[in-house]
Amino acid sequence: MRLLYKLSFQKMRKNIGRFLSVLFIVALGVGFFAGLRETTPDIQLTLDNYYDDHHLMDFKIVSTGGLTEEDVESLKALENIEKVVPSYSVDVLIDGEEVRVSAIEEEINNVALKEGKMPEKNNECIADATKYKIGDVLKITKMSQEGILTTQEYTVVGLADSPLYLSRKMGIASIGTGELETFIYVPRSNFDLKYYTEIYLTAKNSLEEVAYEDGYEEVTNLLLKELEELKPIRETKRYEEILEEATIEIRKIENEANEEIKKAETELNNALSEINSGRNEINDAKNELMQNEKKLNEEEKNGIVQINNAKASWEENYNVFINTLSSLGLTENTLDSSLTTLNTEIANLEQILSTLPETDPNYSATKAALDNLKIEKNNLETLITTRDTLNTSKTEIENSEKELKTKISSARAEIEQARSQIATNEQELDKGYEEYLNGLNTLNEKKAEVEKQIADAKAQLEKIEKPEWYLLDRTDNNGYSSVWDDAMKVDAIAGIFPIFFIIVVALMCFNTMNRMVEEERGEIGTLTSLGYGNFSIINGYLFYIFFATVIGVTIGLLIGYTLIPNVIYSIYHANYILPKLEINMKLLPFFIIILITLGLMSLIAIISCLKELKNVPATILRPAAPKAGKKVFLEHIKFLWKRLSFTGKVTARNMFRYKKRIIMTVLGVVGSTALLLTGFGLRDSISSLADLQYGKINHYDALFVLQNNFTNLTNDMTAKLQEDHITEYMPIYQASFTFEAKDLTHDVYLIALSNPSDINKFITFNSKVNDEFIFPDDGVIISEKMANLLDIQIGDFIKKRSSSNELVVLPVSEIVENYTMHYVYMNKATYEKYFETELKYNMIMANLDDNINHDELASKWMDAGLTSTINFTEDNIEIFDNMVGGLNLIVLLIIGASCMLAFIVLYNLTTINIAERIREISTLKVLGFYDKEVSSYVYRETLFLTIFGILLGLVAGIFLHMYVINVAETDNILFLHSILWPSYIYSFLIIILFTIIVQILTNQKLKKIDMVESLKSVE
Amino acid sequence: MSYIELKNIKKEYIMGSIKIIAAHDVSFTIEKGELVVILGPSGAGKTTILNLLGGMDNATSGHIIVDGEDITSYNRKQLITYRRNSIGFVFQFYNLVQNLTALENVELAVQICKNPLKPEKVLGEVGLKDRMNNFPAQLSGGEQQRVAIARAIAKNPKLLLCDEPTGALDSKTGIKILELLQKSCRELGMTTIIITHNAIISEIADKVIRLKNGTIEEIKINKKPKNVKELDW
Repeated sequence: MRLLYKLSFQKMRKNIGRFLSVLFIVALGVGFFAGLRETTPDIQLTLDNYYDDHHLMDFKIVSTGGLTEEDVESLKALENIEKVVPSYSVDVLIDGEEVRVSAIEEEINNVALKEGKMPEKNNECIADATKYKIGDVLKITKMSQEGILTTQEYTVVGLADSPLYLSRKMGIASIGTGELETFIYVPRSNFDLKYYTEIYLTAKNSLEEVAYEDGYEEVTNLLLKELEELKPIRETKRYEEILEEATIEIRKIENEANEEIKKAETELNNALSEINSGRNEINDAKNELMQNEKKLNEEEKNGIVQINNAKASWEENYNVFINTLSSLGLTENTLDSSLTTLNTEIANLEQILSTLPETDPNYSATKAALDNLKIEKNNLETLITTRDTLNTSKTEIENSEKELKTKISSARAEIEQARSQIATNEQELDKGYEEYLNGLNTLNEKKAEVEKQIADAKAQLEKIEKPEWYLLDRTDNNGYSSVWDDAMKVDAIAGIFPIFFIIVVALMCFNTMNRMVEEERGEIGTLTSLGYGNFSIINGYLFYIFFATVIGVTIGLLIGYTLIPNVIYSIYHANYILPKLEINMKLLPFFIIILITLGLMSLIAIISCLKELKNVPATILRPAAPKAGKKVFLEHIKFLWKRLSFTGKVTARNMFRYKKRIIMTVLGVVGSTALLLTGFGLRDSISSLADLQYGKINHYDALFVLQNNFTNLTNDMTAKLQEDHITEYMPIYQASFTFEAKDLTHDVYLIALSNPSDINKFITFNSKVNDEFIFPDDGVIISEKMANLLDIQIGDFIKKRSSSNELVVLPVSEIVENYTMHYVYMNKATYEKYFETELKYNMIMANLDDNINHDELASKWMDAGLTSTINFTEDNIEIFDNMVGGLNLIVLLIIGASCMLAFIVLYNLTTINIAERIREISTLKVLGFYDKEVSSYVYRETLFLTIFGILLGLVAGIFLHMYVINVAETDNILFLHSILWPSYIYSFLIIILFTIIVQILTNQKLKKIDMVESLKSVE
Repeated sequence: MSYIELKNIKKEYIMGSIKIIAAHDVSFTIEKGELVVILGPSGAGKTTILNLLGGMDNATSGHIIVDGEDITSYNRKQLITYRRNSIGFVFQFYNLVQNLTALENVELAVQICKNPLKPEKVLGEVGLKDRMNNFPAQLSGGEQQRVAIARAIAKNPKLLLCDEPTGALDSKTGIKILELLQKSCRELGMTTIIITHNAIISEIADKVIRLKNGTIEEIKINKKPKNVKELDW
């Protein structure tokens, strides 16, 4: 027995090429199979550990009504709950970029700190490691809800990744362009809110389960069920709370308003009573005035009567006097002179009398005369007195009349004054009253206003929608699902390749073993005739196989396990922010693979051996009967056969003779070529995208994201555009939305254009359905992939749910070529028609001068406060190329693998071909065929088969490529489905090159064939 | 000068550390049109001589002159050309290409040499006119050997080398093959060398070269070579 093992070793040594070829075939097949198979589990493990280590939440609850402590308590009471962490977040703008600011929580959603430290002060933050540097100062310029954050400026003290943000496309922001750019974490105390914005939850036992597995689903579903039951209850509760709060608020406002009104009313009333008392006073004064006036009038009347009476009596006296006078023949004026005359006469008579004695006759007479005169004088004097009295009384009367007049008029003046005073007062009072009336009006108005306000508030109250809880699970994190989908895609791709490899490997090994046993037929015969049992003989071969397999599998697994997952994982880094891959070398699968491979290989060895061993030793000892030549069907097609050259005929015969080998060769070449073409095709599909998307379709140079929305370009803006020599530009509205159609939803860029007729300068639309593209007047244009994903044809509708949950339904009028992202284009009229709002532009598409400096332009516009950012298409190409760079690796992997496969298959089959035909080749040599002629005789068919295989392989490659593309395509990308012609040529040439290399290598063997030895006997 | 002349041929093989002398100081001549039998037991160096003559191997020392050309100085390519144009081989196991019909096997050889005979004619001459389109597997051993001879003759070589041509055949068939060889030698004037361990065959030769342990034991010229039919089998 030991000798048999020794013999095996010798076989390995002697034909090291064959041993190594078996070994490497096994290594390649197993390596590829295991590597690709292990990739997804490795990624899953890495991700699961990442999630677990950083306490990624299982659920997140957000509510349109905010979340309260009571919500938290009721969540904590759930049965399947592990952690309940209420927290805060808000979307803000920093440097024009949309940033989500979240509170740092210790127990959940921990960040993976990459550099720096956790914040210690309020104004310190942890920031996205892919975006910021330590020491950066971030200033918040706008918040989706103002006032939520107390600190506006943060210093970056730590850089981190977060399991919440796996994808470089972070999702939708409630601010800015609607596309979340990055994240920061700040201390919780910065949030100033009455309610929580979100609550993070973990489910009981979820940590033990592996993410993406059914177990995880089951565990979290238990909680989900509970959450779904709790949801309506809490929603109602919260609704009531909000209603109550609002009612209280309204009542408070009402009370305050009423109080104010009351106060105003009191004031007004006071004013009114003041006015009234004023008015009374005035009336009193008026009465008094009236009485005074009356009195005065009476007084005047009386006075006048008195005066008139006095005047009349005076007149009477005067008349008496005058009459007396006139009876005396006197006048008033002569009275005094008469007196004087009388006096003179008296004096004269007295003198006379005095002279005359009393007895003078004349005396008596004279005396009598004197007496008379004296009486006369008395009379006269009385008259004069009367006159004087009259005169005096006249003056008196006149005086008193005058006096009366003066008195009355002065009294009148007084009264007038009083009257005017009253009038003034009254006027003032009227003014006061007017004021009062005004005040009253105002008050009433105010009352009405308050009433309306309250009515409105009450109406509003009724309109308050029931708060809605959104139960979000991990899949809400951008990237959580897609990274897994991508992994599954790799799994799917990985599924085809290994099967391919395994089949080829198994066939190759079978072929090799078969050949080996056939070649050693003599030896086997000898051993059998010596009495060795079948088992012992097979054992020898199993020993050989065991070595080749164990070493091959080990090499294959070691390389496959480490290299392939890392290569594939590195591709993920283009789209995702992920932790380092954890390679999980599990021993069990390792041994299982070894055992299975060993089993398979042993089976191959046993079948090969048994084929020979079933014969009796004598038969085995004799050379195997050569395979009989046969006419091939081609020979029956006479006209074709005749036309074939002699060697052509030989080749044709050979191909039909060695069917097994031929099929294997063709299959191997078909497989390699198909893989190779798929590899190159993938490269075409991917790498041409940037050119197509940004060179052919979105060929504008820059997109200015404006600070402010506008309906028309401001002069500022046009001046600035002119200044920068930007002559081709178009204002657009662009926003990121979720669109739905037929139960499917997708995030899409909506673009409304100001001037569709000029769009060719910026975007070239190529219709996928019509011969010629015409911008629809009504209805929207959607991009190709979106149409595919949502299964939309022209005439279908897409829907967009607004924030208030209303549906905007848009008819699809055109579908256009597009490769990355999804777009919905429309003109202004369409936008305004369906969205029922005025279109406000928020961006400008522009073509730039070639020599313009992008950075300068951007900073200039941003400094001027006009734009928040400028996206340059050139940068997009770069970003895209980076992303594609990763995919190029997998393409290289595929190309490398297919080259190896091609080499191994061709080498193996050529070697076998030579070994099988060694007599024939020797004969040719003896016949005097030159080396070249021998080679061409042997290789012609291989070459023909290779070319035939390549052609078939190219066809197969088209289908394989199509399949792989369909599997590998992500939702946001439409790969180019066609393969460019150079790829066909490369694939063709590479396989031919390998064929030639193999032939050069094997040609040495061919040359070394010892014709003498091989001719001697059949063995 | 003889048509073929071997002068002091020595052939050594080195197998690991052992040096094996397969032929030592072998000299003989063969005239044009002669039928020569090289006779000797197994291991006597017959095949070595045949290989050297056939241009399949180079001698360690000495000279082989064929039709005035010293083939010992030939390089690999010249040797192939020599085989191609000057030598016809007939092997013990026929070495027909299984995948080619009788005619095609002849054509295979004919298509590469300078002035070949017509394959159909030659096949007719070896008595296979009706079996030309059969594959080797459909032919008996004798018929296969006839094809092999036809293939060798059709090349119109200077020298026909036959290595145990009857070794794998029964005596009856063997006789027919020998007849054919003798006939071709006589009628076509083909210089023929038959290598065999069977002494009886030597009786039909013009010249018998007996080898033993790599050296010539005896060169005997048959004044009256026997006809094949006269052989006492």
